[in-house]
Amino acid sequence: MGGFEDLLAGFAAALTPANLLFALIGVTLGTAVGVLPGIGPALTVALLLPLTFKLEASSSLIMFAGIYYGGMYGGSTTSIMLNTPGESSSIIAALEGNKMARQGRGAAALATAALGSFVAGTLATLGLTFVAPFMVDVALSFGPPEYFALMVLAFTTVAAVLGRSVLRGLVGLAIGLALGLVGIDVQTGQARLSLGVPQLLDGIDVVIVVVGLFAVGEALVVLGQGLDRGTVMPVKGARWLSKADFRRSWKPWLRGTALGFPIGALPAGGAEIPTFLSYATEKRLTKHPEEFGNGAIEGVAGPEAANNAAAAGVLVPLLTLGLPTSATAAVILAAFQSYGLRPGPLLFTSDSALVWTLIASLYIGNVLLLVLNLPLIGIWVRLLLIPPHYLYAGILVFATLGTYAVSGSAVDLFILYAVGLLGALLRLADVPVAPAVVGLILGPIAEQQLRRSLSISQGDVGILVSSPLTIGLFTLAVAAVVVPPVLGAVLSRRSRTTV
Amino acid sequence: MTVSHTSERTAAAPRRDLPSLVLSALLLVMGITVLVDAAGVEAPPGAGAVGPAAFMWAIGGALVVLALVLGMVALRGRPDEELAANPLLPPPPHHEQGADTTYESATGDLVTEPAPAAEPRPFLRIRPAARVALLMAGLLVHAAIISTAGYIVAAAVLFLCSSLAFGAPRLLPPVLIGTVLSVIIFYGFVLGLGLGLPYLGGG
Repeated sequence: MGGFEDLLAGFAAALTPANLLFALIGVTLGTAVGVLPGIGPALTVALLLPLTFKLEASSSLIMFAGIYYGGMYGGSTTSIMLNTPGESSSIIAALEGNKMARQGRGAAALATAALGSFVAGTLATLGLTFVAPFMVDVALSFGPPEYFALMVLAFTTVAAVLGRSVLRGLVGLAIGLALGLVGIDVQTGQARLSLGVPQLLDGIDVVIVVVGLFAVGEALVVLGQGLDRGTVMPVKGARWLSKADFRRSWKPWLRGTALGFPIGALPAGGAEIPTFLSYATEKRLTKHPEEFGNGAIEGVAGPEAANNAAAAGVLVPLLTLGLPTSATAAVILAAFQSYGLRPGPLLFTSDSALVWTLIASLYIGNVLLLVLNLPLIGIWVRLLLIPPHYLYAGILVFATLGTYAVSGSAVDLFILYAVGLLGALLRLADVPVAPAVVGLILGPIAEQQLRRSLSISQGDVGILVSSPLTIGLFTLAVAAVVVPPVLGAVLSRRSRTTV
Repeated sequence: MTVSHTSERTAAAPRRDLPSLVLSALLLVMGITVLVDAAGVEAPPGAGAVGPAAFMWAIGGALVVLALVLGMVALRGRPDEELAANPLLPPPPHHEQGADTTYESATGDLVTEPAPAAEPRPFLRIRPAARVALLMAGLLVHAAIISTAGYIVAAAVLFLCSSLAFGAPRLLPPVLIGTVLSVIIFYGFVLGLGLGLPYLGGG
């Protein structure tokens, strides 16, 4: 089997000292930023994008993948110890995990989260290894119309899933798409939306948008609304899972993985839905229903496994189709682009060694993360004790540094501040920023596929709905926007009549 | 990413949603800008069936439509819209702050949650609006002086302004930490990565 040999070669490449070091840097940074409130993997990868000029493609991609996986581990630590989820997909872990920490069972909660993340991450990476080549075979038959339909589906599901309401998700998406238009049109050389400013001809850099929306916007809002700080719970109890806890955890881990990987791997993905489904499943199946809401270990084990499995699942459409379904995945796609690489089925033939090295590094990263997050968990919890004023001052210094490093121009800093103000407004209006990031990065690619489709058909729009696959994808895309509001209205009407 | 706890979802009476109204106006301006710009883009001959303006028309139109819908929703007040919120997602966790809370745990014991520790008094006791203004001033000064005063000074100023804005209790530690951090970054970039940052006096 060719895939297996490729993977072995990937391991050989990933296990060189240099690549191991980059994986270690990645997972360490990822855990740290996952733990720290106010900073996440998408922002971190964006800040490190300028490094891609200096590093080899495989080194920086291994590091970015480590940050991505590490962020998932670290986010759960914050949820459990502080009840302030570092990652939106860790919200569920805060429900039971923080209650456990308050009862002095924080160590068990952290251990089941770390072990569950490891089990799920490893199984899901295994899933990625086997599903990716299959997806590549399928994707090789796709033409531009299929890609365009897939991207439209990704747009609408990201807008619907990542926001509190579909309308606000679509607003975020549209803003990202509009920002993506700025600059010279690649196909015709026409300037678009440059508004007479020469700096805008190159487009607005991904780094500036991501850093502005996530770091500056977040800092302004946190400051304007007053700090919302919980209490860090001291880690008490045994450092390892007791036998009883283990017996209650392993099934939720596997069920969480089974939910998380397939949903994450859909070109509609996101990690929020599977974590919530896993929580609901565990709540129904548990033998200790009285503990749910008061710190049930199943309610941490399942969702945390689902969260990590979904994170690995998201890499399937990212690597095989070039389709990012989360903000971090979108920024990683931008990293590929800065090397002139285009994720998609062809990447598996043109840069096969790179892809398999990356996948092998994911297995290694998971092992490293288990070590970082079980015996060394105390260090990460201590990170939460950094006073917020130093934390945010540091974030802002690195945010401006990352922006300045893009081109060494102070003009970029002013653009960053403008984007930051926009980000603050979006937060105040409850508009999610992740769809904006996905729109910004995926928008230009979707436009390219649309224009390619229409030049194949010589302008006939019918080509977009010429195959059953594209019709199905567009139907799903529309459903993603229409179903949640209707469902919500029906559910709330029912709950109102029963009250 | 972090979740912002922006809205109080407990408010029963519909209230005007000012941020959404401002955003709706901004979307309208953006949409019109995109549409006007699209009208000015000329497709060169041989650009294919779909020129560079087509996608702009679509996005500009979408921005205008979203601006109008968001404006209407915002005028009605936010609680109405909560009914149409995504039913698949749970509500964000709530923070109880202030007093200790005691409740019965699963095992029947009474558990007392400690109240959050009192934060040290900030050095500058100013209102949130003034804090935001101080932070923005720090950011603007940073950008304004980076090419003349050099990276180390500019970054140390930014660090000081933002720590004071975020309620640092004393003046001296942020000055020291900010300076040390900027020096480390400066030499890390210059020596480690070979990327140049401006020296004192520019260049």
